[in-house]
Amino acid sequence: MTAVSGETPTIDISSFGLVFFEECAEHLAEMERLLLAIDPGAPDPEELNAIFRAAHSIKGGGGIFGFGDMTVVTHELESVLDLVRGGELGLTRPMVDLFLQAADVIAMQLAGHRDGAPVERDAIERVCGALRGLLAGTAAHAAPSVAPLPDGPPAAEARRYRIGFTPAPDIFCRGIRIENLFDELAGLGGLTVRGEVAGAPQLPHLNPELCHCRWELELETTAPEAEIRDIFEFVADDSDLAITAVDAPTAAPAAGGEEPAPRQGAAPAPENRGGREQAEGSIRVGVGKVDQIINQVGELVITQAMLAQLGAVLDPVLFADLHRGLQQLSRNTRDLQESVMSMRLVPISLVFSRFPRLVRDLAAKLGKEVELRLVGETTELDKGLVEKLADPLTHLVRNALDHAIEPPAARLAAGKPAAGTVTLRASQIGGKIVVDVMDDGAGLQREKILKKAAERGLAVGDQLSDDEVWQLIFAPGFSTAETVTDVSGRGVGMDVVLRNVQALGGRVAIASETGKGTRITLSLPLTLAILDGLAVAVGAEKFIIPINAIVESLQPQAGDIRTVNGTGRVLQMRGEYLPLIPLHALFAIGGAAERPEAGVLVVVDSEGDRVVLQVDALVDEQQVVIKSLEENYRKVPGSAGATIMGDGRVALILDVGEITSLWRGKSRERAARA
Amino acid sequence: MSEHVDTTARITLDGDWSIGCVTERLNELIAHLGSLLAGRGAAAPPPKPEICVRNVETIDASGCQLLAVFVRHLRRHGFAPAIVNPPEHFRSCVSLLGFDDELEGTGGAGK
Amino acid sequence: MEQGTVTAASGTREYLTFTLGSEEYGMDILKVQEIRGYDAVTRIANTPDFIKGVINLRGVIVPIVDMRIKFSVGTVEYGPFTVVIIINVLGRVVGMVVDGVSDVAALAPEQIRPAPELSSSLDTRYLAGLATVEERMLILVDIEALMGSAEMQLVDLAA
Repeated sequence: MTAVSGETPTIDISSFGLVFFEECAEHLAEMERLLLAIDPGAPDPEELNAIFRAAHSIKGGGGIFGFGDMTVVTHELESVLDLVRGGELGLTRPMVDLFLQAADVIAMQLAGHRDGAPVERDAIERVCGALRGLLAGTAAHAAPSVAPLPDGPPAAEARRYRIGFTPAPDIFCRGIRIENLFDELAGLGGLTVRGEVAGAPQLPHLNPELCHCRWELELETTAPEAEIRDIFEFVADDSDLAITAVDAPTAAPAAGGEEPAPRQGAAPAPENRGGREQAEGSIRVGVGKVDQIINQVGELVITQAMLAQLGAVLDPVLFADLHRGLQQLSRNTRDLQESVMSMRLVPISLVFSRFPRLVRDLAAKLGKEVELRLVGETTELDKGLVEKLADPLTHLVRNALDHAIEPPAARLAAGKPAAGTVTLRASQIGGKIVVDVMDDGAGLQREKILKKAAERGLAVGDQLSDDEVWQLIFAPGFSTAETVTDVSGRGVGMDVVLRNVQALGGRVAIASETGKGTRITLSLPLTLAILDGLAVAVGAEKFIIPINAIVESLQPQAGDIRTVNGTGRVLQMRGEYLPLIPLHALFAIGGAAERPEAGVLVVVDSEGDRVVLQVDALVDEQQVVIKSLEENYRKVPGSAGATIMGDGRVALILDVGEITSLWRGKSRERAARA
Repeated sequence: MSEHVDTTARITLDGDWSIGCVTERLNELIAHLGSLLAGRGAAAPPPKPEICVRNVETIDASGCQLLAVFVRHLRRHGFAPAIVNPPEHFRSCVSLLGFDDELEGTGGAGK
Repeated sequence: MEQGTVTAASGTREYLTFTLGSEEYGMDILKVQEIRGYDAVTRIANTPDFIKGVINLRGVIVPIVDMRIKFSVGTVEYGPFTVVIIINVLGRVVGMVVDGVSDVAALAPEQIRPAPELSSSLDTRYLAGLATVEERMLILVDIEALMGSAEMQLVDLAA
């Protein structure tokens, strides 16, 4: 804890809290890294010391910032580690596992304080119990060391919660069985339910498929509030859910669930903690509510753009005040939008955190030694992205372990350390999130990929650059486990990874050096709700092309365009022939420029291959709010959603991948007819 | 559907009272309501219609809600309805969802 | 109890009536969100001609179907008097262009007769019944069944 100075009583707990969270996460990562690396048979005393210090720092910090519950686990952990480091207790593999579980639990508590993430009290108790069991087993600590916990009610205490539940009207239609929900709650303890329909419309006007009910529940349970919230997880997003603890912790009720007498003494602790959380100024808000605000701010941005458009034609001198006001409005809306978008951002550690365990288990299974490094875990990105990033990243990490990292003997023979390293690195670069998955394994092997591609009938030649060769592994069906695993050590389902990432509006790049390793870079937009787009005009219509798909735009000369077999045109560019897709023809838009020379060509990158979109004109570059077409209508082929332009009209956002396949389909039809 | 309304104002409900069928059930209830109101206009009001639910095969929260709204509506119009012959699954669903008061507490009915 | 109000509040439902060609239709008014003019429709390529495109309804993207084209009735023109009924069905918001909106009619269940196989422009599957209001025949549409049907092509059936 570097930044803490006890002498100022009025420290801003929230900003220091942040420092603590960061440091604590670092200590945890360090502890986990050391634990994963340690050899239980012959532990390095220095490493044991380092683990002990990490645990000690977390405990100290937890105490300072009032996260008493975190000190409980760390205290037990520290005591056991102290014995191990003093040689009084021999280190075993199961103990290392237990320490790792303890680290998980501390991480969970940390997340609970930082993000309001759910905390499983059972897991905490289990780990503490096991640690205490180790202590009790040693002679020095034969005396009962099961002191009452300084904070956090032990498992046997029941609390009474009052739950107000007003579900969203569509809850029945979403297939949610409220009976099952309450049944689960009843499984936690004594439950009383009172439902009422006072708010429902009169019978003749009732839509019986919508929910008009409100429920008041009382639950007496030893389970933590988080567990109650978990039960409501799928329904509370857009519902009004209010959970309040209505009395102090009580002794565990008899099976009958009689009103238990309030217990002395233990009451103030949880209340204090509640106060502390408030002092940090965090509130729990449903994602649905945040999204609602984001949508409303999106509306505001559109209105602001419309006003700016209207104002732009007014005389700047006569309407100087108005212009100043409009500028101010523009700044304010942009700031507001940024603040609101940041509410959806979560640290990437939420997805990174699954990998140490995965790598450890998988390495053990494969008989390899692998060290995982995580860098930039605090990088923030959209919550929706984090969830969708988990699969492709898991795929890549598995690939790296399974195929790239060599067995220890092979590594030693190649003059490399026996243990391979896989690094996950996240960073924010400009408006993008970049995630690298790096390994120091065997690297991709050019010849074998080329050979494989040739077998697959892909058009390849020796003139391809390395980059172009690496791109081949993304070809759908290019690789199958039994062949490419042997050959290049990579490629299992890379097309799936590519598709997933592209579905998020991102890109995938590969760099590899034989014998040294491979780096796969995913670059993703910061958020799913907003997209940087280029507005283009075709006839009287406007479309948005995502900026991240655009390679370049150009005004073609007559000689640049060739016609192939009378079925389509291609653009000749730097020795390449790129298929030309006139959007007006694809979308049957009248009044657009027919000849490519009369329009503008936009070269876009579609899943590795390039195509050229012919439009009439580029309008402007803008950030657009992505709107769903499926919400009230259906998927529109060739579009990745829609947005609302400054003039209030809807414009489709183009999906260049889909456009390319739509066009190929049309070309085939034409060819078949010809 | 074999429900009927006779002079003692007995309403028989049956079948599926879950989300897939509640709209149909609403229409049936509206028909029952019409008959009840018409019947009352003619003779001395039978103040306690009995709603027999013996043959209700399934019920879920949407069905409970619909019944509760129906019962409230009857009370608002001066009736004191009573639910009779509830099978076990009906009773347990109503009780799990906390609709006992709305559906079975006929004591303070009819303001 | 006041007999009149009680009866009125019971089985009676209100229907928004609209015209398509020479026929007058009615739909459950509870399904109607609002009525607005026709403007700023963005065309969607490769869709049937009765799907006019999508509009921005206060930030929500809403498809517009022209019932006149779909059922080959009325005169298909778009002007300041073209009417779009914004309805709320199946959890979706949809706009439908009709020839005109005429009235709101309150109908008791006994006023509604089942729809026979008749020569209405709409398939009997989508009809909820027939009613007579002031000597005019009103065809009651089951708007939910109609809008959710495959032939309207408004929903992804795979979804």
